[in-house]
Amino acid sequence: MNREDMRRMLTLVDDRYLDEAQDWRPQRRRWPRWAALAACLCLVVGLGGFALSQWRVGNANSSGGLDSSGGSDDGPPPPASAATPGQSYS
Amino acid sequence: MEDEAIIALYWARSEEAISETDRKYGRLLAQVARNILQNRQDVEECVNDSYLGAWNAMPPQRPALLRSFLCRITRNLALDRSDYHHAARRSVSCTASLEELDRLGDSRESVEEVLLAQLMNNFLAGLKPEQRVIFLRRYWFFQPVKEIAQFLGWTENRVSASLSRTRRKLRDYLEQEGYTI
Repeated sequence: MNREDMRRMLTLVDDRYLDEAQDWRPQRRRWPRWAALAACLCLVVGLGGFALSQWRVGNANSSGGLDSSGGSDDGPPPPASAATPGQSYS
Repeated sequence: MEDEAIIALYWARSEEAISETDRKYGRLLAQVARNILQNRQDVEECVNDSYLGAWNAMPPQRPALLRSFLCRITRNLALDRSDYHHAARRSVSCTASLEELDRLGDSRESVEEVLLAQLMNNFLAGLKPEQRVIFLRRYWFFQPVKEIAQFLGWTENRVSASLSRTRRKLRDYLEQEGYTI
C-alpha cells in the first residue's frame, strides 16, 4: 500500500462516520456510582473514627480524675506491713 | 430547512437550493476549507465551488446525509486547490496531518479503490467511537490537535497519544489483512 492509497483510503470513509465525527459531544466526566459510594463510606468511617476517639479521650479524662482523689476501689489492696509478722509473734 | 427539502430544491433545479445550503451549511463548509487552505480568498472560492459541485451532482445523486456529502465535496475541492497552488498554500495542520498519514504507506504496491473503502470502513468500525472521532477530525477534517484537545477537554499530549495509538492500530490492521505498508 503506497502513500497515495493512504490518502485515497481516507476519502472513502463512510458518510455515517463523518456525521458521527461532527455530532459527537464529549462525555462529561462523571464519577462512577461505586466511587461515590466508596467516598461516602470513607467519610462515614472517618467521621465515626474521629467521634469514637473523642469519646474515648473524654472517658479517659473523667476516669483519671477519680484516680487522683485516691478513692478508687479498683486498685490493689495495700500490702501487709513488714512489721506485722513481729506483732504476730508477740 | 430540512435536508430533504434542500435536496428537493436541487432536483427541482431551483436556485434557492444554493442559498438554503449556504444558510445551513456555509459556515461548516468554510471551516472544512479553512482547515486545508490558508488563504481566505481560496476558502471563499472553494465554498462557492462546492455549491456548484453540489448543483452538478444533484441530480442524479440523492445523498442520504447531505451535510457529509457537502463536506466531502468541499474537502476534495480544497485538497485539489492546495495541490494546484502547491503545498505552500496548504494550512500547517493539513500538511502535518498528510505527512503523518504518508508515513504509514511506504510500499509501492497499489490497492483497488473498492478494497480501500472496505478496509477503511472495517477498520473504523472496530474503533471505539471516541478514537474514531479523534482520528477523523484529524485526518479527514484536518482539524489541528489543539482544537481537538479543546473540543474534548483533553490535553494536546493526550490527543496526540490517542492518534499515535490509532495509527499503530491501522498499520497492524493492514498488515494483518496482508498488505505491505
